[in-house]
Amino acid sequence: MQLDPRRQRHVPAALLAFAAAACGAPPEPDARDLSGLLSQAGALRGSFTPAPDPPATGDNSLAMQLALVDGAPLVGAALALEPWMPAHGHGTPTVPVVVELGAGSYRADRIHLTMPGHWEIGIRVEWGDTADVFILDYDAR
Amino acid sequence: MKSSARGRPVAAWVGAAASVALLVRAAPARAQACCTTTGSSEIGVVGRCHQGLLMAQASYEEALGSFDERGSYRSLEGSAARDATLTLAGGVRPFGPALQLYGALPLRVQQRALAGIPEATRAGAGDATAGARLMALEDRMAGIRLDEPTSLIPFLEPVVAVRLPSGRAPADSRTPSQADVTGEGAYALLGGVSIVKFLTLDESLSVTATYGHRFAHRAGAAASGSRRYEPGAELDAKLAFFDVVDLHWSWTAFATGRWTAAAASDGRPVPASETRRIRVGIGGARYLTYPTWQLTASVAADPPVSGLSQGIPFAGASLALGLRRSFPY
Ligand SMILES: [Cu+2]
Repeated sequence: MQLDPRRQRHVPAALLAFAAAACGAPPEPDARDLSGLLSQAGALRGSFTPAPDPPATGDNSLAMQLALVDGAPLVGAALALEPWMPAHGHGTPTVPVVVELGAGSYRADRIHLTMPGHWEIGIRVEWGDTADVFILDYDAR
Repeated sequence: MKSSARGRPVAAWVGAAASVALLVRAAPARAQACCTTTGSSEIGVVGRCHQGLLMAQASYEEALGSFDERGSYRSLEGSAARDATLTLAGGVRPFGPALQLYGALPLRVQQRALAGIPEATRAGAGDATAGARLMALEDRMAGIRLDEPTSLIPFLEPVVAVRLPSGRAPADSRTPSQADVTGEGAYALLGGVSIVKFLTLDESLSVTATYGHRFAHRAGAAASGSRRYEPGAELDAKLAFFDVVDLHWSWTAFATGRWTAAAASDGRPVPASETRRIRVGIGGARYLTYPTWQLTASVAADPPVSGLSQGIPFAGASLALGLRRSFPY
């Protein structure tokens, strides 16, 4: 899986701060908004919820809600995740495992972030004869 | 008159004897100052007045926090990284005092305890270094006297070295916590200069600066094919003050800095991948038997101050104990 290192465009931080203020909970300084992201080729939309949130050094999992851009939930897709530390040029020895929960919902476990710092989580999604990629920015503490 | 005439040669003899005694006392003290100071810029480096050196240094480092890519310091929460290293090093001046060849091989035992990942302790060789130094200028070690321009000349040694990827690279890791990663996976070519200047008879200042080119290598993870990863160039600097207390004892205070330029992946620069690491430390050395066996001890730490360092995943404190066997001429 060769992932394009181009980054996702994120909702501006001000919007995130506003949303968090509206909920009454102060935002974590490093929490990134991972909802409503567009895939690199523009075929998919995904919302991602890391656990723990914000991501931490150690074992992490990721809840994913995926849909085609027309809004139809993406079912039966094959997902492969790759944590990558771009500044250090390394990934992890452990391959995350993904289960499909239905109605466009997927969950990845065993995302092993082996040190604090900036990670990219590459998610390659294959359905039918089509493939697209999300890249999530993580700041593991 | 008679007695004073007789007294003058006696006084002269006493004075001469005292001077000789002082010189005899001072010569080894200066030699100790010379060797301790010129041999301390890097592990394995032979002091100026010695022909060879064999040494072993045991060190322990505990990670206490990390600096993110913006330089914010944060304590480690729920994870631990502990490294014990035995470094075997040595050097020799094979063709006279000017040129020395030296090298060091670290043997590492690393423990990683990361939340939710099986705790692991792994051992292995780290990245070995080998280098050469040429004594281009020599300090007369008489201290600085402004009326004597030659007293400003320092010890000056150009340095060239290679670092070999003898440790296990991250791409070859088989342990979930990556406790088995003991090396960078890249060859590096290093060049720099080491300068030592005696400010007085027994106090000196040393500056070492080394530029390192780290070669590109293939990097890959379990889930992917490989990419071409080019680590950024590195600049290492060390500033140290030495005080030689007497024939056997000396102490030092030092600061080290390590800067790395941005990395590139498949030819594209990696944003925010520059790093900086500033450490400070103190150490002492004692000759068990002068001038052959010397014991060294030092502590060093990453000051937990945001903005001082950046892009350092594991920062903390370390303790090192070393035993040096020098071979005088
Ligand atoms: Cu890393």
